[in-house]
Amino acid sequence: MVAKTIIELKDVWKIYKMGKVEVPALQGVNLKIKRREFLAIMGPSGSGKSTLMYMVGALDTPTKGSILLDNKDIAKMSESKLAQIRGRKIGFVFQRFNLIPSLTALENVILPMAFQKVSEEKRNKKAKEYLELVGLKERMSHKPTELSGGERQRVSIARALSNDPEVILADEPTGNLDSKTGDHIMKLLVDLHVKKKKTIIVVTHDADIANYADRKIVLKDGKVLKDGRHHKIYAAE
Amino acid sequence: MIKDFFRYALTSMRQRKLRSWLTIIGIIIGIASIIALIAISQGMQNYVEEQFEEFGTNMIIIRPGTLFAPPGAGEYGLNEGDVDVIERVAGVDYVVPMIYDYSNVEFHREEVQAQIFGVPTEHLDELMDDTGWKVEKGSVFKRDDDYSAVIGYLAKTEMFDDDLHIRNSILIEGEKYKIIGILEEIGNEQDDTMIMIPMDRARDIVNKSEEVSMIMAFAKQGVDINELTDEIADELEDSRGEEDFTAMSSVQLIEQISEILGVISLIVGAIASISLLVGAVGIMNTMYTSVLERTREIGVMKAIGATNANILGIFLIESGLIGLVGGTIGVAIGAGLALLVGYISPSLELGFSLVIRIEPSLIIFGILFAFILGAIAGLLPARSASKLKPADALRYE
Ligand SMILES: Nc1ncnc2c1ncn2[C@@H]1O[C@H](COP(=O)(O)OP(=O)(O)OP(=O)(O)O)[C@@H](O)[C@H]1O
Ligand SMILES: [Mg+2]
Repeated sequence: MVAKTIIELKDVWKIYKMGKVEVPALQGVNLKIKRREFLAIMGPSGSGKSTLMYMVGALDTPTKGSILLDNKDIAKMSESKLAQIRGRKIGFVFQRFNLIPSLTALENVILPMAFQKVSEEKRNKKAKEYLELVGLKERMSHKPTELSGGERQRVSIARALSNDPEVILADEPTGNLDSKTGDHIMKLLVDLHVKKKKTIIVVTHDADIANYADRKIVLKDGKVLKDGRHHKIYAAE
Repeated sequence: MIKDFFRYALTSMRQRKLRSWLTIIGIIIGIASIIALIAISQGMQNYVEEQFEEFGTNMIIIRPGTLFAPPGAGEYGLNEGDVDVIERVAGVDYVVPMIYDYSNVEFHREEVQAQIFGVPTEHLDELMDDTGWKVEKGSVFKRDDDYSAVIGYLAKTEMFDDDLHIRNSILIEGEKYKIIGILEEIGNEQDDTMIMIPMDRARDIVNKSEEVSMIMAFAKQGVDINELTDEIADELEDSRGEEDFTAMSSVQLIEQISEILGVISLIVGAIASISLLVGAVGIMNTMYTSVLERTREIGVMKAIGATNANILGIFLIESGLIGLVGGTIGVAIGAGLALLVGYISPSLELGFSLVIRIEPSLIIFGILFAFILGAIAGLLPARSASKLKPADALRYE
């Protein structure tokens, strides 16, 4: 089976301007991500991993080069079209959870569906389903501050799942968690990959976690240093 | 989706309770003062309109002095000669001179200063008709030298510790007068507390044989009241040699009062608007702070699919809600304040009492205005929120 390329980066540069100093965060990155791929992005701090994630997630535009989502250049899309893509095609999981503090777990999961104008009845049902999937059905009326780190990250995974996106982007999802909780979160992501057939891109410092992935790239100084596939060691699970 | 935004704005306001309330208080003060002022100035207009209905449109008041003011007790300067001059002006139906002064009135050994009103009996019935004054009990006096008095509606109960009744005797400057009539309520305290006595008696009391406090002239039917007023003024100026009096028709009087009231409410309204402006700046400030604090939250919302328009809407609704809550409470307080002022206005001795009516349209106006004001004040902060680049917002610490 030849999987389709859903995300393609062509010679992507991102140069931040800090006054007169130019910081090149990405320097000519070329990358093709195929549907249902599980990709781990590694690299030292400051190597441009987050910057790359923001580009892939249509949260930022490159200084030079192009990013194609389903063969369409995001640089040519309107702001509202980009918002729609972020809302429907991509689910984000952040290192710092980034839940809306004033909303309950359930409301947080509902929010992306509200932006896509999903009917109230349907989104309530869906949100509960997703929370159940991550094992938080009992906690759905809690505010983020009333949840542990692991629980918060599970809520944000449930949120990333709403609108049923093709791609899940996770920027150091276990970075703020202990290793046991982190493993649990990674298991969830792997499950999504295996059972829900999601394309998953994970940024991580942790080699163990990267081993969950079936493709690993290493960034350094804004360039792709290594890009390699390996056998799925978890496939049997 | 709008519903979600409202719910979201409410939870976010609740999250920052103290600051939200402080901002809301700013709006409350502004809206309450504007609503109170509008209601009070409407109350004055209502009063003026009611007076207008009562007076009819055929009355001309001539007073000494060139300053426009309500008739004041103890003023003199016009005289019986002027009355003759006015009576000769074509179009004049009849003329009533009046003495209007303070004097000592005693009842059951209690002495007060009261306003007495000296009126000749000659045209008294017509005067009562044209001014809309009615006798509730008893009758008016028939002779200019009677020791009888007709008292106002409030004088009956408010003037002395003991209530006055028909056939009671009171002492005015030591002389005994019998109360022969009590008037129906006229509607303003000045008139309702008067003691009306025959002209000759009043002359004795104030010790003036020729002078009068004011003259009321009534136009014949079909005569243009304002033209007649001018003519009377011309004739009087000729005979007196100078224009040291004011002649004003009831129509002009009402117009003039309305005009003055209009100017007053404009000035006061402008001052109240400033407090509302300060409230609006408060909303703007709060919203800017809120946008800054929630920069990452805005980034997150964009990451999960919010468009710029969604973010704009969320913040506009939040600032609008601050306005709405402030407006609702402000309208309630403002209306309460106006009703209170209306309630105590008879005892303020303003010479008139307010007729406060809180119209539903005023309530709707106040609340809607506050909501829109809030949204407008939130426009710039909301715009800056919506324009945030998602990646930058997410990196914000
Ligand atoms: N908004 C910005 N303005 C200027 N420079 C920036 C900005 N964002 C990132 N950078 C710089 O770009 C480079 C890449 O940053 P990025 O956040 O992508 O690194 P990273 O690989 O995610 O690091 P970490 O592992 O610490 O999260 C860094 O040198 C960083 O200082
Ligand atoms: Mg990073």
